[in-house]
Amino acid sequence: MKDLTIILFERLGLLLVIAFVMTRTPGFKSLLYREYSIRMSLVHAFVFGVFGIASTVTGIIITEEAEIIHGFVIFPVDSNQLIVSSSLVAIVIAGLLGGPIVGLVAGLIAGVHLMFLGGIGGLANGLVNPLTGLLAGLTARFFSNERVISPLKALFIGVFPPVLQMQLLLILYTDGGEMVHIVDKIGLPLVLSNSIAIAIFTAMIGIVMREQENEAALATRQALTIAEEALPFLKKDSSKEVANGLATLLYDRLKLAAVSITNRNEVLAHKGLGDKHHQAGDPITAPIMKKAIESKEMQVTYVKADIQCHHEKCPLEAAIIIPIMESDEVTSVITFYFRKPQHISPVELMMAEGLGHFISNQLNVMTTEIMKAHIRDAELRNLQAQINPHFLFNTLQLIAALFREDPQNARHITLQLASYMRFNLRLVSKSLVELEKECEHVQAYTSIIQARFQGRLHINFKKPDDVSHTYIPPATIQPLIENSVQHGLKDVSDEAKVEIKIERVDGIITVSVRDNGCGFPTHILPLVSHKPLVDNQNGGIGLYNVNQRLIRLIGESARLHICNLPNGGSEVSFSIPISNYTRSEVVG
Amino acid sequence: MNLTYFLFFICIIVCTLIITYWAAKRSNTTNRFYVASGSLTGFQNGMAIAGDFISAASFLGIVGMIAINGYDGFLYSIGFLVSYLVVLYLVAEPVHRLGKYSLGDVICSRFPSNKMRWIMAFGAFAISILYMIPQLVASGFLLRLLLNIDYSISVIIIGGLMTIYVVFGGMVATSWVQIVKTVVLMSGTFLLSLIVFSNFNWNVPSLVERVKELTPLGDAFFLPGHLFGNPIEFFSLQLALVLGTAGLPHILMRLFTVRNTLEVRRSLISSTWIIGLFYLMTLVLGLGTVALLGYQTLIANDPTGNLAAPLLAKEVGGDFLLAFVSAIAFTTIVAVVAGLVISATTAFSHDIFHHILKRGKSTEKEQLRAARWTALGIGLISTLFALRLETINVTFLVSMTFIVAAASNFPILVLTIYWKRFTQMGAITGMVSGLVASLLLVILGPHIMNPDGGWIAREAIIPIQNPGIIAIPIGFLGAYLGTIFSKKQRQSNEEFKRFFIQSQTGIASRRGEP
Repeated sequence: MKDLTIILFERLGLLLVIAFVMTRTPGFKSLLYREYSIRMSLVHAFVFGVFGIASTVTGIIITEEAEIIHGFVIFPVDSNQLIVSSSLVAIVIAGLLGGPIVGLVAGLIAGVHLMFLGGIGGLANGLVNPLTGLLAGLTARFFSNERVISPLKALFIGVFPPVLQMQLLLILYTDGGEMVHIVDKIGLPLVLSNSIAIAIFTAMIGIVMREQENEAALATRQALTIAEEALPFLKKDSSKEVANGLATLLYDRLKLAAVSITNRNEVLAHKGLGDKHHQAGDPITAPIMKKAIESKEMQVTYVKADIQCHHEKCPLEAAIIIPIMESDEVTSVITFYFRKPQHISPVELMMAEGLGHFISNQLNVMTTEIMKAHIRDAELRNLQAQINPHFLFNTLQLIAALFREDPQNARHITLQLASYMRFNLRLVSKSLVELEKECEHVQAYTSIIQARFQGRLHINFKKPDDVSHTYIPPATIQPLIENSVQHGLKDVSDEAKVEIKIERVDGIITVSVRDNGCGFPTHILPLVSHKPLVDNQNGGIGLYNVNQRLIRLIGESARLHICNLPNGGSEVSFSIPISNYTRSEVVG
Repeated sequence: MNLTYFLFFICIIVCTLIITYWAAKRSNTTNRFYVASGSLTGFQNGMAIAGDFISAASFLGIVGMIAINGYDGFLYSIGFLVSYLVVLYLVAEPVHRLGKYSLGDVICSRFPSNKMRWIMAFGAFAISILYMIPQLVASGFLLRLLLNIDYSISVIIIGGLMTIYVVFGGMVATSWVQIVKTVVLMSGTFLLSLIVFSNFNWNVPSLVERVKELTPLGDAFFLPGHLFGNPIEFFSLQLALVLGTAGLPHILMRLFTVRNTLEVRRSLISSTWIIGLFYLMTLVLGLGTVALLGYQTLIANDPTGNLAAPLLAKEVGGDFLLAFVSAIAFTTIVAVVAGLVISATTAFSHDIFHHILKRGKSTEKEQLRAARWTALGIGLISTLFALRLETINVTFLVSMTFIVAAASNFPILVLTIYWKRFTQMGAITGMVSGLVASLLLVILGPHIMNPDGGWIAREAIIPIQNPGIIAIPIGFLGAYLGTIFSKKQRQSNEEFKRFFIQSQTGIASRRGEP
């Protein structure tokens, strides 16, 4: 019995080696991963059936006199010989993995082969295979909700097929006591070897499955990380920066041969292999890239010719080209380069596709956000540009009065009003103006106001000599002065003072407007710039609007600071950095 | 003990321990521990019920009984089967709807009081322990016969295993051990029957002829009258078997392990089929034993006939098959005792500890800890008992268990569910009188009072082996009288209507205690 056990283990070891090699092939892995379909089930059943046949071939023959014949079982055996085959291992696995039908079909294949080989137990051997397959399938369905049964459970389940086989032998061959002897002899070795082999086989399959799942989990995590890390780059303003950042990120994360990012016409960034001759600014030549831009669909090339690099020794031979869409237009293209075509795996393809969609979506979302901000800004500017009719009316009346007394001054005020109104007209079309222009606007306004409140109001406007290269949302200072005049000086009869100060310290321009009036009522002080204060007439809305525009166009650092001064009056101030915007954007 | 036996036993032990390990990771709530959170399907539960019910005494004992006594042996098993109809039609669905974990829950849903709970818990506890000890003792003998290992070692092995299953795996492990047992037992017996048939070339008449040749009973083998001379004894035994099952806490507990009443019905129907088919196969095995071994060989090996099935296996399949059948018997034993441990555990830790001692306020964690400790304690105590009782004949305890269940639990259960005027007093008196009556009758009966070899060596006062026919009516009578004399406690029509609707439909309108 010991000898037989050892021989059976040796034979099964051989089979397990083959099985191990099989599980390493990509074909087998895909076999495990596909969804169930009739075709796949048949392939499964066939593979395991053939494996069962192989187990039979590597089995041994035992004679009625309990003599063991070594050597492969290839031809039909004599009528007094019994084939001891381990085909049940493969059949059980088929049933456990693929369900009752797969088990049954695999068992039929192995069983028919055994019946064809004949011998003393031919019928029982032939019957036990399909039966085992069926039962193993049912068992898997009954016992377990995991995809691959655990090796220990398989070990237990694996005990029963050989027992069944022995019992079938006993049922079908009752003449004389020989069968009882044979069963005694082969029963335990078969139970031992088969159950252990089944457990090992299941463990092997479990490992393959786990590997695949880990791979998938890793890929998913990587994709999510990239998506997260790409966000800050996408928010950058210049397309060069976006391209460089993204290229570096993708190159680092995905371990590609190279990554390039192009717009519709030229390369914006290239990172990785071949950056000597693939450089930013090169025009797009590869036909496949043009195809991607035109078709708006991801392209994959496995041929070097498609990349059409002018450089002869270019190491890049395969590529995935991902068009990035912004509002239904391809605005840029990301290309993953590979050294060898076989480096492109389904994981890379899925990743590329997902990233393409993700970036396109993000860009679209961002465009919408920017658009929204612009619309809002335009609305605010429009509001600002509407000259308060009271102001216009009062100014005109003032001019009418001055005509008699002081025509010179009347002329001056008229010119100031014209300048003021011209600025307001321009306001609608621009989101930022030079500080100089803004100062002129302030000057015009203060002149008019001062003339109007002659003797009662003193306006002091201080600014540094050089205020060039600083840009500011237009008409931001004027509403502050208006606020001071209207609300701050309400109850002050003489010696009302408004002080406008523009200071320049360490590259930061600070604008402050002070008055010596009654200040803000304490209960609205914290709210003034955060909420439109409707009941407070224009001033409340004015400050709110200014604050919103400052924050939106320059940033949180430019927010309005409002406080009441200790010896009466209030101060409203904000600060902006110098030359934070290039000229082109101001114009645009 | 040779290598084949040893490996099969190891395999069974390892497998059940794997199941326990797997279950232990999931038994982290009381709901999981006591009733596997109702997660079993009807069919699985049916298999578990069969696994709970078919004891080693059934598998080995009835095969031997048929081989020795012929027709009467088979008739003996009929009672086990028919009892499921009582469970199915009378109590199954109401019990599932009313109870949560234990029989005490069911009765207390109509009569919520600590006194009631005490009595129900005590009843369940007593029945489970009474049933477990003879099972353990018998299994000790069996293992000794099968494996040739010492009695105390076999008892310790089985006692240890059952304790481990329940302590770590709770109901989940117990259920799956029982399911595995049913699968193995059914397939093993089925194949063994096929082997028997094939030995007679599938020719049943020739099998029957051969049986008649080899049994000393001759033609009378297939006629009644060898085991039960007295029709009253027979009737009494069958009455206890038929009604007793509906009062066995470890069977009724299995009605909580499924999701809904449809699954309850399904589990009872499938378990009835499994048990019925099983007893049919024991018939084949019994006949096969006589036909292939002959009466003399069987008696020579073991006069009780318990070794009929293993001997048959050895005859037709050699050591290999014998090892397999012994492994089946072993699984059978552990599955049944595990079921008993968990029912005793529930009675103690859920009813007594949680509801009475802690007034239903213990936390999930405390309850679980209590349940595990209880299981450990019960396992230890019953193993110790079984070790001490080696030399004493305890087989009468099995029939006594059924009588106690039929005379105390069953009347209370049925009357609680169906009798409008039933009162708590009636329930208590019924329970107590049934319990006391069956104990007294057994003590005064020939099991204990026996001139040759009884504990009390004198003529039995009540000369009836199976006192069910007296004890069961006493149980009902006690319940009736208790009700009649306790008018003040009677529930209003409204209350009973609410309870009845809940028990029949599961629609609860009662507030508070379920």
